[in-house]
Amino acid sequence: MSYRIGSFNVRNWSGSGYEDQIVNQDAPSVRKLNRIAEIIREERLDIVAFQEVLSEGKMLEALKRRLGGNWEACWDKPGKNFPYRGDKRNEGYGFLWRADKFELIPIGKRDRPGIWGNYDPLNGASDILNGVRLIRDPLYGRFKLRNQRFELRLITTHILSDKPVGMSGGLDGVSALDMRRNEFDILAGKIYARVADRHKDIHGVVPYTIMLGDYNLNLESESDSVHRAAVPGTACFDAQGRRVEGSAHARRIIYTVQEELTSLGPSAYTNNFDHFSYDGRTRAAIIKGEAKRIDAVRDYAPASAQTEAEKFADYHSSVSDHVPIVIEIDFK
Amino acid sequence: MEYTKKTYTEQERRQAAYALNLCAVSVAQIVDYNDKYILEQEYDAILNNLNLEQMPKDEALLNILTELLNVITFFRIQEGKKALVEREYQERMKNAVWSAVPNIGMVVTGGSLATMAISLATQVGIGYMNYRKEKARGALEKERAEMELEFTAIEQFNALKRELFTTAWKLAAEYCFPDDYRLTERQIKQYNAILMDVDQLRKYERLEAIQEQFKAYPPFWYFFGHAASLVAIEARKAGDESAARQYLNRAKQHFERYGELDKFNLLREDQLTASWALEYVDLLYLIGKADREKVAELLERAVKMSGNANDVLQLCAMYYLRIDQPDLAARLFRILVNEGCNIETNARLLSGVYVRKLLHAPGDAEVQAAYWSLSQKSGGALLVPLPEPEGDASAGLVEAEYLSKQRAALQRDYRSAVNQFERKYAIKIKRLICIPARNHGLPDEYFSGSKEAQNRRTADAKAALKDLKRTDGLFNLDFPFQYVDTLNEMLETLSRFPSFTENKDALIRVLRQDVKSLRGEMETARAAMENTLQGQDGGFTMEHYKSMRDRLSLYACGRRFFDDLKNRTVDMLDSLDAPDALTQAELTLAEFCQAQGLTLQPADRRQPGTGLAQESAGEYLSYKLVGLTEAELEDRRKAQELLSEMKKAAAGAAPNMILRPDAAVFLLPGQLGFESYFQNAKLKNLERVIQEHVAAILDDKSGQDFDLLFTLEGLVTVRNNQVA
Repeated sequence: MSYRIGSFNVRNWSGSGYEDQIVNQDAPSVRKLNRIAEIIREERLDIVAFQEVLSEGKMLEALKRRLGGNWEACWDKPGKNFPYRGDKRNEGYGFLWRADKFELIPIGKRDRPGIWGNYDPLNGASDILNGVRLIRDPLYGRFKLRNQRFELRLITTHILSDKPVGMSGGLDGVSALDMRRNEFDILAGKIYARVADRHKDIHGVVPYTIMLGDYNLNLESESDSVHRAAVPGTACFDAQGRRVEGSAHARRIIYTVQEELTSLGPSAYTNNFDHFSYDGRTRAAIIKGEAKRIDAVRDYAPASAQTEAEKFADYHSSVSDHVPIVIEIDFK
Repeated sequence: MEYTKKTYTEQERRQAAYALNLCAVSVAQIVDYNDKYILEQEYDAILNNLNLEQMPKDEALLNILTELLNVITFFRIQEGKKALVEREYQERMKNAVWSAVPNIGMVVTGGSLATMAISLATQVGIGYMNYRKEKARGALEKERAEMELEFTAIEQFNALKRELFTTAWKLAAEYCFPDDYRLTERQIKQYNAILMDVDQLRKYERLEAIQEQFKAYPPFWYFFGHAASLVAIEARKAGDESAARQYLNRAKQHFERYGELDKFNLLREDQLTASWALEYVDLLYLIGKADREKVAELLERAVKMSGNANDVLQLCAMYYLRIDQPDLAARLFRILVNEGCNIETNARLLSGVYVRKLLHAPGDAEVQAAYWSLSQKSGGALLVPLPEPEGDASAGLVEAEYLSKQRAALQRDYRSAVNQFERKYAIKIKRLICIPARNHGLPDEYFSGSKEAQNRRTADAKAALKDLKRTDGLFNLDFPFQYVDTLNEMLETLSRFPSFTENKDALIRVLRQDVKSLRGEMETARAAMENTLQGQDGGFTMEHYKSMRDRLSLYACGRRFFDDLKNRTVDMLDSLDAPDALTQAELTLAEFCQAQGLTLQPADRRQPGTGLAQESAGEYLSYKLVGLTEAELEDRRKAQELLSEMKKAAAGAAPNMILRPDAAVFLLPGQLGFESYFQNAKLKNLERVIQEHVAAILDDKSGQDFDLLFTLEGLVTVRNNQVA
């Protein structure tokens, strides 16, 4: 049986949640909620990782109810740990999942997904570029298939686009591009490794790990110019989780996929920023087919939007500057 | 209701403390050594080997053990890498065995090997000990990166180690055992660091300083005794017998302490106890108190605790030979051969034991059957030949025949090694003259001599030369320098090859001449390359490429060198007639191959021919299944009949064939000389003769060297080792 995993940057999704629905069905937050619910329902997504969810995730709770049936949701935000204190919008992440298909596995003492801040001793901002510390931590959840001995570990991330203002030290003289690449290397080389290799509490359950989200990096391709921000399709890491060139000394290879354009402006798709990443073991065992975007601009346009321009304008203004992506997995 | 706290006996307290310490040390060693093979060893020897019946019944402890096993299972070494490590250990053990048994004759004559020159268990040891020793020595440096544990493994093991120590605190409180029974993290870290010390005397003194802290921890006393033994051996080598005696006595005390303490049976199969038993045997020999009964008792214990671990059984088998218990040795050698462990060595030794038994009891059907079974399983390993059923069956004759076979096999192995070595350097040379020059990522197969590889390289060169807009990385202008460097490196490496060292000047002279003749070729090629790079006329073409490929290849310019090297090698081996010398030559070759990454297949040591195969291909299939016609079958049957008659006639005529036995010999199939005739490494064009079609050989031993082969196809002449 296969499952569809999605990732969706919902751009500043805020609102009072259920209260909004009661008070004003035409509120932008509610219309956005309806569009998102429609996409999830029609695309038969089983788990969705969200980025840029504000208001402490109240809209996720509303979404859960809108979808009806057996859905669960959670929300958390990074920025509790040094050095990144988060932004004033209190941006966070969310997971939404089919509770009839998946149950949660506790992470340490937490019984819900939470921000991954499990690092080596913090030594200050200099660790950011030494491959030790992330600027923005990801959200991590463990989802066990009901009645089966498989577990899906999801790490959702939203890599910072611009250098954060007001953060002390560490990034002087470093370009935003290098900062993003560094974030990816830590996520893929260290965070992913820690999550994927954690085996002491598996108790007969086989885990697979996928990282997903808005990387703010295009997938590397041969036609790229050297200045284009890129994440490699294949990244090799040694036993210490450091990026290495070539696979000769690689202990782990992380594959990043999804090459369709997913971020958009008011009139067209612009960049390919949203991806899935996983190691060879996961790729061989559970990944089915190709990851792709959900063309929510065109496929879920309202009747009132007829032309391409209208569709883009409508989606961009009322839903998000990203479309969701989806990947199918199958636990054999 | 009053709650009564359970009371534990002293035995139970010690056992609980030992169990905790065992686990804690094991996990700490995994972290401190940071090595996947050691993780594997700790898993096998300790953590997955605990006798849970004897462990304290504590849920927290069992949870930690479960989590540990979960983590270890995930990070275990890949089977391929594990096999590589074990193969290297087997190679070291093989060399050590043959150092201890310089010639197979010692096994055949049944002489006691009490004078075995090397204390196998102490100086080489079981795999568990040997790997750590080699690692500490830095001998495994090149594999370090591959064996390194992932940082995620270390983090989890560190976390589990902390949980283990926390649990240990709680259990200590519950069992009320004295705090000094329980080892702390700091003590264990120091202990592990000391065990990695390569200076045995310093190691001993460091262990001596901390012995009080480890009084209830049996393995400490084993390592303490082991260090003392090694110090004693070194002292003896240095000629200081008084110091040697002192340390031997200390070793004895420490080993005896281990024997007293080790009665908890916490491990189901205890490699450490097996190792202790074997090293105790070594010690008894070293101090001259090797009572046969005591030694046998210790060996029995080692076998019992081995869990059928091949490395332990290998040592036990050798020690059974040492105390002249061939039956017990044979049983273990049989197990080792069946398990594919060091087949060549063990099959050879086992065959020596069988031959010895047959010399004492000729015609023993059971032994003969066992020998036959061994010959089927040993896959070409060089066995001590069976004594002749009639005639003078003596150990001396058997040994002589064995040596003859060994020499022939060695000559073949040396030739094979030289061919592989030549291939290795031929590929290095091809990399230098490759077009395009960018090839550091390409595998060796790309440069092999196969037709496909050659065609691929030619096609790639053609394509590269077509698109001359991209000349970056097209040519390697430095190739003449690198060419000479590579040849020099090759010659330097060959300085460890005995026949090269003995004939160095002559061989280098040959190579120098042939390389000198390439000067013009190299200059022309370089000039053409430079013209291409500068966009001038007279650029590099496919003709230049083909000329470089053909003339600069090592197979071309090194042909005379390698042929000469092989011939001189065969001659060198011909001149060796002492058993020790042949065994040493075998060891030298093994070391050379190991150092160069060459693989020796067991030489195609043919068994005595039994003539043509039977008509039927087997009981289940007929030749007609594969399209053979009746006419073909009939021809074959006739040929077999004819050959059979020829052999009968030859056998009948044999007694009267030779007038001067010093000048010629008449050989018939089944005779040793008949087999070894075809194993002569100097024979050329041997492919023109089908051995199974040879009815007899007239081998000319005079200076004329003009042999006759009586074959189904007619009379074949062999003049000066060249088949006509």
